[in-house]
Amino acid sequence: MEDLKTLVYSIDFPGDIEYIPPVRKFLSHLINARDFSRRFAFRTEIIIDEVCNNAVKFGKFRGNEFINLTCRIEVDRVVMDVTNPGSDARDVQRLKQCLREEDDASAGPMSVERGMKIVKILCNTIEVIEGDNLCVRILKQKNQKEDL
Amino acid sequence: MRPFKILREKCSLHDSLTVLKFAGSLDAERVPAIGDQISLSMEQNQMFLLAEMSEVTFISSPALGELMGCKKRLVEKGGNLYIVGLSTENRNKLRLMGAGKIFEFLPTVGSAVRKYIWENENNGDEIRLRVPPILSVVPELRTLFSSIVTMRGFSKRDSFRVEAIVDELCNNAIEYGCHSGERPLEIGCRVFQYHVELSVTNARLAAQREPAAIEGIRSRILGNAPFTLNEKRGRGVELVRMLSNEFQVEFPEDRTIVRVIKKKEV
Repeated sequence: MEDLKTLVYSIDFPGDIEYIPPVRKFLSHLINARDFSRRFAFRTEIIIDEVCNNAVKFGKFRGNEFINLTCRIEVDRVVMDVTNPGSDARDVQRLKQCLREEDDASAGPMSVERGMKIVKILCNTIEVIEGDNLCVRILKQKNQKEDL
Repeated sequence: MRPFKILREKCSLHDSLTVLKFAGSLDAERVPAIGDQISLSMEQNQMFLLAEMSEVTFISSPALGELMGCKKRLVEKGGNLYIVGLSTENRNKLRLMGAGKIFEFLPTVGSAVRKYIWENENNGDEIRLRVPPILSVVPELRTLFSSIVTMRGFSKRDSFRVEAIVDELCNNAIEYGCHSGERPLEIGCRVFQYHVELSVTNARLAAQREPAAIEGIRSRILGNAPFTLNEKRGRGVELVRMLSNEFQVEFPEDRTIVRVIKKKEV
């Protein structure tokens, strides 16, 4: 019964920052329990926190809309999709621009895109998928060197 | 330096809310303008106002006093005034002036809309999960729901009881349900101000889809057969019934749904 190789968790929660800490802890514990190191789990928690905070900040919530977080835990990687109801086109462009840019040492600590830069450092790939809703897909691969 | 202005507009996220967008420095001489805008809103029966302050550079004591007075007037008429988007500097200053006891400082218009809905519309906050049917997920589910109800103002005792309910229902759903990863366990939770609704849905095994099998499950879950404390099985469901205020079971198609309502203790 416990032998499923890929585990998929999906959570719909209100667009409210108060829900992010319990949700990120929930997934981080599950990742840690699945043969990923504490460091990997903690770094994933940081990624979830940043991306979900952006989803709350930039999503357009009219009452009953949710943020959906789908987390696929495989043997050697974790793939997360964070989806929020439609965002402003300018914010989406800013996000894409931030992900395209090479790391810029001149960007000060107050840079608005600092959160996504941290996510970029901590994961392997980030993709922005536009549709009726905005989805940010993050892949984080297990890396033995990371745990040394 | 930004020039002072106040822009009044309907909130694009909720019809019942009006946004007053402040910009510039709220000096003492701006007090009448602030009061006038809020009075004008009240005359037009707009009783729930969001003061959006992300472009405000300074808030003087008289301006803060005016906002406090306006909030009092609005509350007396059944409305409210929410302060949104303060810079860290302004927020810290207002806290030092004791305004944190009167206002809750909200980060975005969206969060203020959610606060309004939570306080006035009683629709509850809904959380839905789909998880693989494996027992190792249950402790994390317990902790998740316990944190959520605590965050929403339920007591430690209530949250512990919710934890016990989630534990029993999920363990049963996994033990007796289908174990395929393609048929996840579904957990729904709606938290209201004074109660919480929980539902746990699992897919049934092929052998449990016959009417006689369904009747057996129903009878076991609803406790139609007399229960004694000496029995080794069935205590979990009995415990859930004792801890909750309402308990229902449904069998749509090949699924079993157990629904529970737990009221807040006062």
